[in-house]
Amino acid sequence: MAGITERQEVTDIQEVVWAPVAKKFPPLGPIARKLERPEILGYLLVAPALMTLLVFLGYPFIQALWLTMLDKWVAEEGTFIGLGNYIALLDRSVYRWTVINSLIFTFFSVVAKIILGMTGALVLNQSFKMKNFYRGFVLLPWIIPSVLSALVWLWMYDANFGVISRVLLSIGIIDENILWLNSWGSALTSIIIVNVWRGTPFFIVSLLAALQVVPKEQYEAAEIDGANSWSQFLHVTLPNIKHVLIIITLFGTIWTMSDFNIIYVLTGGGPADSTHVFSTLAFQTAFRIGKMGEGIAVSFTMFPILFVIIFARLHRMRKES
Amino acid sequence: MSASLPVGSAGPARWNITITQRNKLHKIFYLYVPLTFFMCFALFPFVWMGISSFMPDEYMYDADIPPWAFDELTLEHYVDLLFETEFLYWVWNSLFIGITATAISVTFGALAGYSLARLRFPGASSLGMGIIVTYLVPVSVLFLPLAYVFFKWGLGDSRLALILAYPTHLIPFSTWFMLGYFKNIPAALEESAMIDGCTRLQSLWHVTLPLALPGVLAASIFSFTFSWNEFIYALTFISDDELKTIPVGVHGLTVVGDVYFWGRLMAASLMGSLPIAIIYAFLSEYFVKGLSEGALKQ
Amino acid sequence: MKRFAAFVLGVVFLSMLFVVPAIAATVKVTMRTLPATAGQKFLKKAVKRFKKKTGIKIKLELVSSGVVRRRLITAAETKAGSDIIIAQFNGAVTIANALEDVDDIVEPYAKKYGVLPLFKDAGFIKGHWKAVPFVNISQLITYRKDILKKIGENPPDTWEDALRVGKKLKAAGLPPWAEALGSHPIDPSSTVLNILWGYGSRQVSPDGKKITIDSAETRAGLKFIKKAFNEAWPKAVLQWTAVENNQTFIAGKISMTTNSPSIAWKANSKKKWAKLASNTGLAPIPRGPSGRHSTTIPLSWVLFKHSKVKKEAKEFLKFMMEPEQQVGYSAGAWMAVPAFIEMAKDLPDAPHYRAMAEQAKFSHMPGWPGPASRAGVETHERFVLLNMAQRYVQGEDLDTTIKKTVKELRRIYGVN
Repeated sequence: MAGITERQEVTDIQEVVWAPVAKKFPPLGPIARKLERPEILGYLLVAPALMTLLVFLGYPFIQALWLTMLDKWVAEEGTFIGLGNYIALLDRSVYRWTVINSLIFTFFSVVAKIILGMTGALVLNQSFKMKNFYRGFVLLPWIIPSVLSALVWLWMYDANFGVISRVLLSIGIIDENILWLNSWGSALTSIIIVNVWRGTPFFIVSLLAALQVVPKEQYEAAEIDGANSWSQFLHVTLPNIKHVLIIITLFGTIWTMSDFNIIYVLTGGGPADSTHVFSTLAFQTAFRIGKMGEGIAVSFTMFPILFVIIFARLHRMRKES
Repeated sequence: MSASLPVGSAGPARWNITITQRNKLHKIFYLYVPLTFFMCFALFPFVWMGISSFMPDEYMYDADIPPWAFDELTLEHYVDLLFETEFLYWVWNSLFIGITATAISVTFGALAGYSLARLRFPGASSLGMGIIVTYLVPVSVLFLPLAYVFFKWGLGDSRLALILAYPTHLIPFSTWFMLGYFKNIPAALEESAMIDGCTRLQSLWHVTLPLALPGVLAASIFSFTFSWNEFIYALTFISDDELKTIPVGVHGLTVVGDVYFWGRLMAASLMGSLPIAIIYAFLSEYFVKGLSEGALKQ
Repeated sequence: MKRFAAFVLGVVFLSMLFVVPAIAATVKVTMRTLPATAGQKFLKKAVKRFKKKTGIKIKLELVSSGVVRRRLITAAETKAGSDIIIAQFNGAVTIANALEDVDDIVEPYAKKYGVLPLFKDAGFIKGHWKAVPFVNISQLITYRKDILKKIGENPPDTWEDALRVGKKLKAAGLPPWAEALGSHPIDPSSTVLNILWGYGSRQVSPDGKKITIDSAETRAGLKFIKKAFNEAWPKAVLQWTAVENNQTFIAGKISMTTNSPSIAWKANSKKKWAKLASNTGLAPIPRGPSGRHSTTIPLSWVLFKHSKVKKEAKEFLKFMMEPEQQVGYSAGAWMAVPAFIEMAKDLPDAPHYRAMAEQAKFSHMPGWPGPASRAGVETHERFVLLNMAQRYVQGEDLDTTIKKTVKELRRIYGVN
């Protein structure tokens, strides 16, 4: 059955697309014929992309690896110290704290995004008036430049005039302004809120798309067997969207751990270096202190962690399929 | 059809209410309440952004009055923004860099994606894997290495630096995306075209590309959005006020002297978000498609 | 037709990519903004006068203070960008390798007019002048004359006085004394350094070879900070960087704070704050048992070795050191005093100028009393002493926090 439909489809499109162009082609010259060979053409077409990546990504990467092995201050030639930067970093409490902080921040943000994303997707999966309209609006936080929305949140978190405090004060729920960015705990929570606000739409939309291809028969079968909503969710919904859920969790984890914009805008790593993540610490080390080698080394220490996450996930996925 | 939260019509009635009333309660509890929550959570910052941008300073910086108690609006922040800062330069830079980087990335990515989807040649699959794995490496890990090399090549403080840097992140994505897209277009079409005498490239141009246009559009929207929103590369590479992109320029407006200019900042945030919001409003289908296809394809 | 249009568009696009910067013999100068726009206006006019006088074109770029450090480092590293950039504090020290010697232009002025010692700390590195002194922005106590009168107090002379005033304000429910304690190199660092130095704490020996932070004086200073935090300051100060004390003072929510005179300037700048302005007073930083010490924000020009217009740039720097520019900019910026001592007497007769000029005599650079070095700058940029105070205030044990600081300082100075 599938075969017949396909062939028919092919002919239809062929007639529509191909007909006007069918007549125009002169015979091939020698160069063109050479180009036709898959080996040559294949490389040729991949070449621009590959070249760009090699020159503007591969080479800088190698250069940077070299730089991390230098004790290099700004405006001077560095001296080779091998793994000295890395060893020194492990000894620095700021760095160790940055690692812990990044992990805590990533974990809670991603978990929150999964939960809110799943809930949002379930809610939006129902049929109701103007559904597309709402679905459109829910994506807004994700597409707006994160620096600009982080600035809005910074304004909302302002210790004196932040709107959340002002509203709660006016209603009488609290007596004094909430100090959002005062200490590690509150600052990290505030950052997580913004990160979750920004990242949840991606989860919602992806999960929503996944929900929409779950076969309805399975739900009907489960219902006949007497399963309630929660049980249906566990045994029908989840297994079907597991694949997508894992992929977007992977992406979410990578993106969250490497977040720069939100943290840079809200706290710049403070107070007292307590909310640094890898990227902000690297930036500060290179561009405020002036130690270029050490700064790049901080960035590079993210790779092992990234690899572990990516390959662990991919390995499990390959095992399951 | 609410596939995930079925209203258990087969179950026993637990309260003395009719089925319609029960459905209505269900709807309120499972739909309207969470929907309201999500909408408020998602949109409140934008609402406040808009309000603040029109609020006169006296009301904005008076902590004693509730934030809704203002009775005059002002355009001074917008005027200030447009005429006393380089905001318009930033808009132009963002547009220019965004369009150029997108054009380069999607073109190269489409070519590479097509090649990997259709052509067999040695090393194809590892090349493909290599290019795509690059996408997983976050931008904020690479910004210092790139900065160092670009500075050495004399590209510091230029738009060219960004135009060359953004494709390093966008090409892997475009390649991956177009690869998946091309795979969904039956190869038979091109083959019948080639039987009729045209070259592969010609068939790509005349047959495949027109069909792949929605995918190209989706990849372009995604790429442009990335360029428009990108911050850390732009922050690192560009210092000259007239060459900045919107995120960097606006962030630089945060503190002047010893004070914040919140009204101006909110106006800038609003205006900086508007183009993307407009693109999205008209092309949201493609956007969502790109999003979910990017996530769902492996 | 379509092809031609595409071709033209392509050419236009490509040409924009390679827009060549302005013609030679233009000196690119990057300067920070100050709240008083009159300062910026003066600079722009001065640049025009300079062009008329010498024919040299200056491209003046004004940036916010938070960006200055990054600009300095980027320019030094890329060997490109501006020819002259303003340096704050002793920022020149970190990039000294990339800077041109300017002894030939600074020495004559220093000899004739006398230069404030703090500028030597900021710009005289390894036997050479690497930064041209410009103006100094002193930190002062900004206070509400009317509120202090209400509780029968004068502006505090010692830190203990300040604490007494602060406690009285808090008890009376009046707007309190508040000092910024967030993570920022300007106001919060000032808070901590002013107090610690006043109590005799010294982070390193004058030869830079011994870490001396672990001392009874440091403990006394830290204890004072914690006491002030608990008994006088609002808890919010831990979130304050450089703007919150301004905002709250103008809003009438605090009565006293350390700041550069930007608050006083702002109060004087708008009619609606006229009453506040007349009630705003400026006083010297209080002294502690070890004397009166304070931080300050000196601004010095640095000239990069990579500059292609060094001769012209030096002409500009000589021009900026002349009394007309020093005094004129100070007057326009309102909250600055010239770097050269003798020139200060030409300032407009106003109490805040006198206070600033006086305060400059007690001012030091971060890293004091150690020598001008990258280590000193690094302790400032890494907020080492500020973090120490923040941790202690938030409950960490005193010995632990000092030990951590000692370890950090040892690493930074590379000594034991």
